[in-house]
Amino acid sequence: MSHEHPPVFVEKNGRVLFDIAASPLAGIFTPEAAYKGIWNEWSAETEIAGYTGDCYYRWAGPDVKWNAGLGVLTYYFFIDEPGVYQITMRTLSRDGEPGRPRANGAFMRFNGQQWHKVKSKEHGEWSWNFMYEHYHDPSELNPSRVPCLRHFDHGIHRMEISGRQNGMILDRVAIAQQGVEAHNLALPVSDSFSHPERTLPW
Amino acid sequence: MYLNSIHRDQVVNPIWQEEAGRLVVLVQTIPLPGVHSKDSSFKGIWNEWVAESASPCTGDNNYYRWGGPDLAWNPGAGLLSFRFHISNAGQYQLGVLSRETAEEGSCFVRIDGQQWWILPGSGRESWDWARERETSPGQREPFNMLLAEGFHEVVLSGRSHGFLIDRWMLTQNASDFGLNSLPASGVRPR
Repeated sequence: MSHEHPPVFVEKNGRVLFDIAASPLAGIFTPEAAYKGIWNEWSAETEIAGYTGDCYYRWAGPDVKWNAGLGVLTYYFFIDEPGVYQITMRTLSRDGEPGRPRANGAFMRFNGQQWHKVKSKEHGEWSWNFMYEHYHDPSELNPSRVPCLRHFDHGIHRMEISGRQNGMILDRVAIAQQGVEAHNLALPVSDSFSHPERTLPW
Repeated sequence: MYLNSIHRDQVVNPIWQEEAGRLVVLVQTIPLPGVHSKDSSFKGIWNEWVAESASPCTGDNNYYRWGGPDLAWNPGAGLLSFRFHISNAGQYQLGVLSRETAEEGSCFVRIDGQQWWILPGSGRESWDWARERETSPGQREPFNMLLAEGFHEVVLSGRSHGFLIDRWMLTQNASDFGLNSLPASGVRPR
């Protein structure tokens, strides 16, 4: 269930950090719970060690290769110093193994604009490797993946994440100017304030 | 309990206007961003509704077919968002003129950003108004709601592969659901 006045994480010294659980889940999904409005199939879990906050989120919904918009997690952040930032996400990705399909991607978008497919190319361990995939050519070795770079103006921005592959695990988001340390696990999450306006789900 | 209207500033064109307790909107009035394909999705065309006219409901208009996968418990894909204005506050029933192409067909619906509901189809061989929401497996109730005067939003989302939708209606008169070719409502002037 979304906050009416969700936290807005504040960029400081070229860096914004927040845990994936900063977007709370409405409850535990079951087919019965769905009829009470709990459709979000992200699952908050702690079974796998190494996460940074209170838990990580695992996409427990179906594989939806070409359908962004399921299980939307919403985050707000305030950019004080406008410029180009790189978005990275700490994830635990799974490569294709016998009997276990690949789970290495999600969808991401900013400020309600187009959805982008984002993927990790490191599997089986926690990593910060997360890149845009702008086209797909299996004949090449990850040629289509580029760092998630984006210019942000001064002000509040909205980031949304949507589930794509069953089993993909997300832990923390870092939005940082290039050259700014953001992946040190000793770094605390950014300070936040309540969104000044009531936010609507659309 | 009335659903509160949303702020005027949060509404963009077009805004359909209810009149005399009835609002009818053709789904084709929300244009699709393009034809979905694996390649076009990388350009932002994730919406897998397909505009078709092979089995028209009223003869001259397109309808939309959900070309995406079955998404039993996952609303949010292929959002079709319609804003409208209610002048006559009161109880309304929602219906979607639809057609099933498989054993069962349905779509998701929500009003004013509240919870998603499954709207099962009611016509396998012909177009018919789906006007009940599923409240638990196999249980349905009329999709009734109280709407306050002001601006509101209906959002449809794909659920069953092959499900066809032509138009949706909000009405205070259930006998309207006996008609498939009610004219579309007007757009509110700016």
